[in-house]
Amino acid sequence: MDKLNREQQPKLNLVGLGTMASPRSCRFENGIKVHLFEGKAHEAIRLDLVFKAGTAYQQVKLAASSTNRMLKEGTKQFTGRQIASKLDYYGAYTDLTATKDFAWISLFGLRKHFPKLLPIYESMVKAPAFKPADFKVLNRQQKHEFVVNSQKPKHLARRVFNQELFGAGSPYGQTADEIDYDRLKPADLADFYAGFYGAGNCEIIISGAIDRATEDMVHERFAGAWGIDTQAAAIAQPHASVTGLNWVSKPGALQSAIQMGKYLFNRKHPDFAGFLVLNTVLGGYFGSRLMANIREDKGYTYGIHSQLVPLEQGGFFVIGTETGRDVTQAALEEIRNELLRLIHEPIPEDELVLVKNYLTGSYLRGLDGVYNQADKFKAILGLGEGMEYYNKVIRTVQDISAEVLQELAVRYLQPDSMLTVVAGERV
Amino acid sequence: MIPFDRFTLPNGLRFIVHHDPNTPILAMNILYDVGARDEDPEQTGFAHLFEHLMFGGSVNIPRYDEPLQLAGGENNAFTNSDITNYYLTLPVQNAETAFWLESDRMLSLAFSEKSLEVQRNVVVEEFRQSYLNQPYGDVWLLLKPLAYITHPYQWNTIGKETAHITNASLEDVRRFYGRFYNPNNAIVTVAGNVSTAYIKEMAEKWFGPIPAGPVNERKLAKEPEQTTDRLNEVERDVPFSAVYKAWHMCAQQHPDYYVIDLLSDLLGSGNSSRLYVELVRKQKIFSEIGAFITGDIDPGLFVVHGKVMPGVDPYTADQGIQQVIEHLISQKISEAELRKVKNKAIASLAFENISLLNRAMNLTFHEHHGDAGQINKLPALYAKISVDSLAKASRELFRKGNCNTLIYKSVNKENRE
Repeated sequence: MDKLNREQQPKLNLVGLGTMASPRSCRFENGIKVHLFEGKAHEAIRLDLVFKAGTAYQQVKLAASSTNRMLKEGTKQFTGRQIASKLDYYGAYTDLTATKDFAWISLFGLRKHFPKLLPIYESMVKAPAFKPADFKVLNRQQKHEFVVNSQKPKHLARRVFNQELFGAGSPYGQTADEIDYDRLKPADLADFYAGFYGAGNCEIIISGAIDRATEDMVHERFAGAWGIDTQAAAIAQPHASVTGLNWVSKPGALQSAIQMGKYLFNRKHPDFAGFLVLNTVLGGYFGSRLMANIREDKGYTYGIHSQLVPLEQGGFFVIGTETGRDVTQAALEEIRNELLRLIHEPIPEDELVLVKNYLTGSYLRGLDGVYNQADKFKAILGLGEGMEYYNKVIRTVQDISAEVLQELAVRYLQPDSMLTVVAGERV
Repeated sequence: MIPFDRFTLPNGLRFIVHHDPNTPILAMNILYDVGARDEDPEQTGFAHLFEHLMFGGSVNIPRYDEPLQLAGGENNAFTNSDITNYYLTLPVQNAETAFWLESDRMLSLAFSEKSLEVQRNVVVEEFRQSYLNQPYGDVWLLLKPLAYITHPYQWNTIGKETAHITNASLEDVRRFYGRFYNPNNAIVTVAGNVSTAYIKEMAEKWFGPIPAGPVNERKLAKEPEQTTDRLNEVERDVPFSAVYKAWHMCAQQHPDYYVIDLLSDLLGSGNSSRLYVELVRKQKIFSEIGAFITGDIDPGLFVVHGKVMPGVDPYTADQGIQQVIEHLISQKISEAELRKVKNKAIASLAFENISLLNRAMNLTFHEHHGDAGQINKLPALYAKISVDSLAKASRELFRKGNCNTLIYKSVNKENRE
């Protein structure tokens, strides 16, 4: 037997990409697009309804997220307590989320219980009651959550960063204050619901242990006319190009939270895939340059990450971390150094190969099971391109050169083009 | 059913193989049977600091992360009171890289002064980020020493204080490694589209030559039965007062463990739970409330935690919790309510095991508790729990003298609705 060579990494095999499985898609009679990801090996089903009803569409602050979260607090057929009891009784749960662009209503349950769960879910979606007493309880909870979060430096930094980037009064830039919770009324939610929830503004994704009966049940309940019948029109999204350093004072904080970045673009932009590689090198994975330098070499932080956040209109790039207050300035300088290094020097070949392989592995992780595939699909819903989009991205990732990446860095990563927000105690 | 095979190498290293033909990914999970409970009371936080050092390079491989990422992989780890657990996923074609990397750090570490220095700082920042610089972040630093007098569960995984971390020396690190990081003190689970024969071949090739270490005999101080209720009150600059209550419960191997798990759901999981319905919806004295069990191997804690509504005295709020518990003990639980918590527990198992990595982890944990096969017996185990067993367990759990209460008082003067 050969002596084991422990210094040499075992030969790496070429990883086939496979193809991202596309969902089976169809349209209900009322125009709703339905996408199905079938996974025979499972017992559970996830049903997602998505509406163009994110916070960007609201006229009253908090209306979008509160409307979304109120759906399970009581309907014309069931009280909030009945909804909670029935969902719990069948071991199901719902997930209600509003992002800047979308509102999601997700139901997760075992297939055998779906016939019992769907009537409740349907009632939540189609007939919420927005009763003042229920609203009061939920609104107070949300306010309390907000007040607790406002003590966290990270929360403060993110809030100001968002305001500065998009403009405080703009659809994407708006942020709520404590007083907005006191001003919010149930009628605001009913109005928002009437304007944005309905068959015309909805898409459906079903994943998991789908069978014919489940499909028929969903069809029966959602294929008719209900709610608003037109799609929400896109709203103009301004953004500012503010730069410089913005300190948010948080006396006594042991750590400062840093948010640094700029307005960029979304997946529709031709440089998106290239930027994905560049961002991964900089701060997109555990072995990134920011982690290697600021955590693993200097020990200034528990973690530092960067990402490009794509929105329906445009997108933004942001680096985020929390550092000891004594080393905040040093960390900011190191971030700057890492940006400049990408601008001045091409990425060495071995590092680039590593990042490309890592991204290919991440792509494969997205193929692991129908729920992961459905999540990947949900992330690109607004594009209307289907799963072929990912195959295209990963091909670009594999082909891109260090020269092109350096050009992207020159164009997009100039430190002086960025806005920096730091929340903490200035020393 | 989650199918699996099992084998043990001559050096004592146990393997579990879970075959799943429907995924392009391989998951590997390695559990080392060492946690914060095994630490010296003067050197707490060590197991967790050590977890960080495991990424600082091993005897033949200067860096752990790079070759894994080169193979398209990703990894992480966590430490708790009982175990230190490492996991990775990578494309199945590159499975051997996982064996190469993990066997080398089981063989020996690089032990560099620089890596120790940096990771001490990183862990101190983690301590600050998660425990000190967060509203309510120090709750567990207060609650554990209140509930435990002698058992090492009295300190948290992060450690009692940052000084214990900054004082750790390279010599301490070497000793800790020699004592705990041995094949006979670990369990490896591999999950993916791979055969047991292949995994066995890989296991023998890479892990087989690692010598067994000393058998770790655990002699932990037993926590004496608590006979008097304990109370601690602190004041903090947080917006809302909070109440935390912890009762001693049975160990994981005890037959009542899953009964008490259901009890925590019945009392405090979800918006139809008793505590929520009575104290948030009806009486409106809490804005949020919940209950859970800590899930430790040695006797752990049953915890109720809630944020108190402004204007309500936290002691009055605490009485509200006690009334809900008295009602639970004195009135018969309905079959419908029992059915509900069982359905919920059984459905959660199905949801949890959808992910390949979760299956690999859960198989490992059950093997560590005694038998990986337990993972497939849980639904039946929950199904046969009766109203009477629930009543009996709750009487024992909530007996007088067994309770630890932490009143976390807000000194915030603003008057909030």
